[in-house]
Amino acid sequence: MKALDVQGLTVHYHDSPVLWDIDFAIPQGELVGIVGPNGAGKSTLLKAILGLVPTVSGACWVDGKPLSQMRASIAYVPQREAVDWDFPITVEQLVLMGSYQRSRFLMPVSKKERARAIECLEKVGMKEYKDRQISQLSGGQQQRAFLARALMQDATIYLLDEPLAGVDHTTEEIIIDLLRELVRQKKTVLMVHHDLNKVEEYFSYVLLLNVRLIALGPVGEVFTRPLIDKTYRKNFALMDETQKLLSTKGQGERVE
Amino acid sequence: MIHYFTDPVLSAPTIGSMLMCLLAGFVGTFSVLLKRSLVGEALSHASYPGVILGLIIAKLLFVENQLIPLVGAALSSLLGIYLIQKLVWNYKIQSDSALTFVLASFFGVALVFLSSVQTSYPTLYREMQSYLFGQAATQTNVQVVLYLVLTGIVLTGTLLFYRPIKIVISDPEYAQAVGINRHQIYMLIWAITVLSVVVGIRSLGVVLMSSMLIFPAVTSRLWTEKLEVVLLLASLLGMLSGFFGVYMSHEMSHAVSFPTGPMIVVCAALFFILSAIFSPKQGLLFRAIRKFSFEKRCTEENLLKLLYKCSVEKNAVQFSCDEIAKRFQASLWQPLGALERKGWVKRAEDSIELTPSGMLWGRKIVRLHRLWEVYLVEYCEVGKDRVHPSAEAMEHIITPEIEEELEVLLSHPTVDPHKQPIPPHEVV
Repeated sequence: MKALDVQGLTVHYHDSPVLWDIDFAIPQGELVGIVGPNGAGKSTLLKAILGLVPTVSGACWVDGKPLSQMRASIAYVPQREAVDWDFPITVEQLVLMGSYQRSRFLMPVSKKERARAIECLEKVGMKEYKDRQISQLSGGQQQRAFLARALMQDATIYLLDEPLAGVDHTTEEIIIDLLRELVRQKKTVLMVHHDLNKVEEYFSYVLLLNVRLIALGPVGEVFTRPLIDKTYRKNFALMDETQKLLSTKGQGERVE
Repeated sequence: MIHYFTDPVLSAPTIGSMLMCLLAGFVGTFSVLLKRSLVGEALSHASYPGVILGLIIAKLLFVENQLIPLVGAALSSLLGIYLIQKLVWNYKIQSDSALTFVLASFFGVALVFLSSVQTSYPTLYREMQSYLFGQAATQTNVQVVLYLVLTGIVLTGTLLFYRPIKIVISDPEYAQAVGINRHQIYMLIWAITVLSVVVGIRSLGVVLMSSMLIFPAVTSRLWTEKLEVVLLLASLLGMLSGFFGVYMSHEMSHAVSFPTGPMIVVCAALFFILSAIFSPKQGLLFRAIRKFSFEKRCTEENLLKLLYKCSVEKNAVQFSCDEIAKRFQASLWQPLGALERKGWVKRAEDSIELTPSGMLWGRKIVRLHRLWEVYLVEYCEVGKDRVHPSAEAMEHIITPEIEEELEVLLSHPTVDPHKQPIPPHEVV
């Protein structure tokens, strides 16, 4: 059984396709890099899997069950820009959010959860920052705090949106070490990544994406010159244009 | 002061105002943190046609019912928020335009009705007007009980959904990813905002209502970084503003007639001004102090750096005051005193001696300065002759973590771009 199975996923933003009819399945225990040019729909793919953006079609299964039943086993680390950093919350409280699915309503957070939060912070080397407000952290520290929140959830699948964008060396090392540790525990990690130089070093699997799925497989087989070229060369401008026309005409708007 | 709570005439307005302000302070925190403070303003204005309609209906039915205008207020407010959502979602109108549209058109319709009854039904007109600018002084026990019930409902509801609310406001995408329906949470927030508006308009009036939704939250945000504390403090500040508004307007009533509602707003604004000056986090006062002490530290470190450089040039640790004063280009005595207190220099009659610990710190500053220069030249491709000013500033602020990061990034450089040696890392 596959850890994550995606079928026929199509997403439009403002009437133009960002992802088009994507099918793939990822085996358990792989560290998967999602690679593709700007605007290829990498972040959207993660969001669509989680149901954060409206999809035109498609479905996802986690361990053979529909995603809606399996939310607790998927942890998501959004891009840093998506978060309100001014929000009055400390690092520790942020990490405790990760326990939401275990205690949804107002109850004092149990000692066990608190201890677990500290443990997660320790794993990302952030224990001494637990009482800081989240905007008082450096970019790398923010990213690590978010990873700690995902760890707190104790999921089996981790979706990370460019966790290494603009972070320092220490953070990059800590994050990669942690992800490898997760994979050793048979968890599955999907991560949007932009630095082509590190793909072979970091990932066991790679997913090449540019609106369509170009290729998915073990790094050695898929991360090859011809396939990378294909990923970065494809141009979907025409697709875009016609799709827009179709939908405006379909809605009865005037087209000059 | 205690008689404000026991006096049969005073107690209802006092407790009523305090309750409404408590509730508004608490509820308003959510919309402020959502960065949608104006929704409160729109909702309170949008409630006014409902109030007017309620009063007219009550008049037609010949009943003296306080509840009818409040129900009207709630319904018309809810209609307002529904329209705002519609305008934003279906017609792609900017949310600030949609807010203004609803605020102004609802309020306009209400004012048309208001002025139409001015001459024909003067009592009704006065009643309608009391909701416009508020009339805290005439609240009755019945209203207080009603407010108490509504406050209870809102607080219980909020506390029940506290965790999802917190997640939705701070990180809406994550909230959805863990299976929270964020639109339901937004609706919950707007529903409790409507309830707090309903409770508040009798004391404060629809015009000033939004101030109590916003001021306490903004003020308490200056004091703390914890949501729980923000909520508590905002409720408390709201309550205090409510009390002092009633208190001041009553105490001064024999001299001047200051209405209670506006007085409450003035109190809340005063709390904000005081906080803006005295809060340790962002207050003007502490900011000035921190700025001053940072500048002072920079001067001290510059002096220490100079002493260290002199000691390298001369291979000595003792210098004459005159020589240092000439090279330092700024007043020497204050920073020198500070360095002496820290044990980094010793002063004799006419000379200055750099102690071993002073040497260590001086070396560290020079090291940071040169490391930064290497970073600028090698990593950012800045011209060699242009890196000095930036390094002069950075040498005072680079933290040990950044220092380590620089070391790794530049693979442990030993000379700076001007061929000066970079002192090795030492534990200070």
